[in-house]
Amino acid sequence: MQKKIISYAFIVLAVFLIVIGIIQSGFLDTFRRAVVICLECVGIG
Amino acid sequence: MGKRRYFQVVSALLYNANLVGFLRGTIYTGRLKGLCVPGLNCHSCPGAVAACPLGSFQTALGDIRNKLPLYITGVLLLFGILLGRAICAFLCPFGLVQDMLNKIPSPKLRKNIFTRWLSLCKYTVFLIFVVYLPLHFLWINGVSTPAFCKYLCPMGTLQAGIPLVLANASLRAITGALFRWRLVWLAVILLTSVFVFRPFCRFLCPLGAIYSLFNKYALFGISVNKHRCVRCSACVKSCKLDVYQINDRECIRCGDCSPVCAHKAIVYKRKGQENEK
Repeated sequence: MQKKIISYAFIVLAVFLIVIGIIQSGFLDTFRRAVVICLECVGIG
Repeated sequence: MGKRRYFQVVSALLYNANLVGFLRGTIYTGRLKGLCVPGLNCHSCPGAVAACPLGSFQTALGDIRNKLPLYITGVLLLFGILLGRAICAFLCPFGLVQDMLNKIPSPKLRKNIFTRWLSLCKYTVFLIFVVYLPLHFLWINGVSTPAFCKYLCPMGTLQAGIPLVLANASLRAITGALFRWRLVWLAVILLTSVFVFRPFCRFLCPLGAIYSLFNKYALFGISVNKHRCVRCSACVKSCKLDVYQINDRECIRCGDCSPVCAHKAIVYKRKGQENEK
């Protein structure tokens, strides 16, 4: 029971962070870097 | 094809559905890239239709002076608490690559106390390459560097570096020492995977390190019926990973131990319905 409460508390926290993050700046966390070829990720930069 | 393999193949295909990118040597730039996939899948791969959670986390840390990385932290937390390391077993394309390589007939290194200790390395990799170095470069140079992606990520080389360099002449022209290092590192990981079961997942993967923190509390995965379990440890002995107990930090919740259990104590189900041992 205690584990379940912790699990659901984490879910609430995760959803809260996602919503606040999106309100703050949309999907920019991921989008800005993901739509250009990241030369460092590729190993060229 | 087993159920798990089916999940692995389908998820890898879905993550990399932009197949035309491999021919053109370009990447997908649509709105889906704002979303993250749960597994390690480079967003600079020509086929990738969504972002890599680890790459995105490092990028977001690089912008921490302007805003906190709330969205990507929430996404990682959500994936972790829903599935834990079941993501490593079912939804990670690099896990699939290592699984396939380990099927090549060869002498295999069995788990031991040394590999159990070595499994702690991934937490060090996470702290140094995913958290500390991007922040260090930001503080020193004013510009962050995704250090894990740049120096250690084999998936970036396999999925993105090699296809892009093959298909894109302008990128081919600017490869240098870093790319050569990446090729050598990838070769080492792939070769090791033939002799050691999932070496990258066990010893190095920072994404696995993050998800392992939630393994105990993850809602979906395998669970052990304590009324049926006779504590014979057949499950732990049969596991190729450095597991001491089902659902501990090293358990990827693949369920391969389930058929080994003579008492049918290990089942897939929503957690909380049965007691754990």
